[in-house]
Amino acid sequence: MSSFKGSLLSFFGAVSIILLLSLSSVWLNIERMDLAYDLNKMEKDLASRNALASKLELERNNLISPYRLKRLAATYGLGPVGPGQMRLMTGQDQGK
Amino acid sequence: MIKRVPRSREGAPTRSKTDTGKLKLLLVGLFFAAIWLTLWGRAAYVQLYLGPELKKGAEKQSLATGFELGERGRIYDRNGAILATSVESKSVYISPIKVERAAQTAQTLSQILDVPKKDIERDLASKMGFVWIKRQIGDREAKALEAAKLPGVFLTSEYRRMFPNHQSAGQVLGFVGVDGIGLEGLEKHFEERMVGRQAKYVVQRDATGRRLYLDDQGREMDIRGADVRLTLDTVIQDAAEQSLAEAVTRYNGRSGMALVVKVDSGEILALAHFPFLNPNAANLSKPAARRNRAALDMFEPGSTLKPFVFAAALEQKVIDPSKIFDCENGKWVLRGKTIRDTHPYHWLSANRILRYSSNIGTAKIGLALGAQNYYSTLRKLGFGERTDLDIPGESPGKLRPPKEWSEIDLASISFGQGIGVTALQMARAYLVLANMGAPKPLKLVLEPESPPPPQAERVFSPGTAETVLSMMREVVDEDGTGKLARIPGMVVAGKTGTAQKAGAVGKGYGDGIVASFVGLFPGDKPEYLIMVFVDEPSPVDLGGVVCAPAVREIAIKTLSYYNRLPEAKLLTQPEPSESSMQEKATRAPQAAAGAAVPDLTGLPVRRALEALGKRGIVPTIKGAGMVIGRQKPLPGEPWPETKSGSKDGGFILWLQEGSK
Repeated sequence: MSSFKGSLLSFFGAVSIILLLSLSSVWLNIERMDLAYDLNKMEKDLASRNALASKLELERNNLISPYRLKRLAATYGLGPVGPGQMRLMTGQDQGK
Repeated sequence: MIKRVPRSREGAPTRSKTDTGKLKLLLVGLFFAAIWLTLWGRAAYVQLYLGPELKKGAEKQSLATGFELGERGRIYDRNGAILATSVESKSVYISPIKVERAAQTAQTLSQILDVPKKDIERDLASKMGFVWIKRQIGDREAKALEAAKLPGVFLTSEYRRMFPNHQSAGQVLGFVGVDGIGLEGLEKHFEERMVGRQAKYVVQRDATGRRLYLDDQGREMDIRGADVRLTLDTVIQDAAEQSLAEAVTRYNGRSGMALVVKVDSGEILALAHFPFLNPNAANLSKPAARRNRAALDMFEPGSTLKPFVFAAALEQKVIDPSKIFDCENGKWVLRGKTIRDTHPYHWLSANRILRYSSNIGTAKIGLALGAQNYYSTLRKLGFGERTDLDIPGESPGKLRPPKEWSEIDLASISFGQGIGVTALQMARAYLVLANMGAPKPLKLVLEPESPPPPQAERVFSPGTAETVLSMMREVVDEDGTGKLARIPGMVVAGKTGTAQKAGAVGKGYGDGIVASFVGLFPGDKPEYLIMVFVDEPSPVDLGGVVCAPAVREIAIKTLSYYNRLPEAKLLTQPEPSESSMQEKATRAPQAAAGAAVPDLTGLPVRRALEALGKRGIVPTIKGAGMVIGRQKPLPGEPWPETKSGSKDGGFILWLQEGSK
């Protein structure tokens, strides 16, 4: 009788473990899908930020391109240095 | 006790009710067992036999194959400035069968995308499942389309090639097609290196069709294209392009080229063409404007080739700079052909022949040198073979073998006619002279590094190269043809060229002229080689007039950019003694005596230095910044008395960060 009880207990124990493992598997899968959604969202966000960074870098390069700077310099009355207008100031800042 | 056995009326014993019940139970049990076995059998069949196939079918529904296209590699200049890059942009396509209210959709698309409405209506009437409407649209257009939420209209991401410097080095960089494939220039040459790779991977789809990445299988590979770094410098490139454009437009030329080369390394700092090509809108340009003429177009160089016949003749000891030749008073008939000079000369020494660019004198030197010697020198200089820069379709030029040269051919090749060269070949040949006779390959690409070329043999001795350079200095600094390339305070070597162009049909020459000028800065120890070519200038067509000023302008900008322009103190003419210089530098001009010190605060450093420089004062600068914060002496005070040996005249300027 006691061996029958023991077998029954083992049976229910095994069923419980299987049930527990199955539920864990389901829970893990749900978590996995949630993570996948989050990951998907973050990847889209990252791609969008990268694309924006590329565009801003392009814009920056355009703004500092020589033809832009030359036009800007002209509005402040600046132009390329000519012969006899250059003075090298090497070493002068040592006196500060 | 005796049991009574139930019997039938006939007396036979009857089955008990229990036996029937058992039988029924057995039958029911068998029935269910059969059903059970059938189910198990079916389950086993489905799981074990059909399982793999069904699994595939299920995966088809829940998994999908995703593709990711990598970004195309960038092109940088030598300082890391971006010359070409790819940015993500949206493209619009429709699925006509999914479009509702076609008329309204066409109207909205036409308004947002600025595409003719009839074109969109035609696309909407298509029976295809996928039709492009407009590719690589702007961000504003994409936002407007997203907001419109048109059924059947979709946006997809693509990479669009952008060139932030617009037309700068357009012909060198080339351009890509709408599908991101390099079609011209370096974009085409480095297509394999720069093109973005495609990653293929599996994604899970949920019920709404959203794609989820469950692992990184297939995405771990680097799909971004590799970058390319050039030797070009955007600042020098811009300077060369502006000066070239001015020369070509002022003298009504058809086109022009300009090159700036760093002598010690052979690196090309600028390779400019005019008319310009804006690779951002290459489809709007004429095919002729897309040509990298410096590499592709062959022309007769004219007098800019003369220094090489002089160098070869000096090397072979056929001439020395003082050897004189009869220049036949400007007209010489050789084997029935007449050779002319622009100005008539009689007896000229070799150095003056180069200085005045006499064709007759040069032809006589060439004849004295001999065809084989001259050909051998030209080959060593690289004429007749490609420079092997990474430019597709480069021309090798045209240099016939000496056995095919007649006497008149030798004479004409000596002064640069009857030979076909490219601008790059000319630059490579002049680099030999600038490097004191040692060949130096041209370089346009820093990354990827190309394998080092085999060590080439020296073409001229240093003595020969120096002698030719001294002759070229006379061309600019004496009364030669290149006077307009002079830069005060700097020795300049150069050579003008005014070459006839071959006629369009048949033999002989037409009316067209290629004007050119080659300059070496400084002329005694060259650091920069600058060349300008203008095709068919008019009404003036002399290289010394059309191109020399452009070369000078490019040289001034290049030298100032690299802090190599002569300083103001070097330009005093005539050159005074050191003691008088010292006195002059430290003494305020008489005109300034008694005047008050101006208010320099708030001025940029450059302006303040100019103001003081006019009074002969080089002040002491203290602090950091771009604007004058305070000054000593104060504004309104009398000019400080000059102390002996003091360079700053007692003037001190303190700098601060400016607001602009």
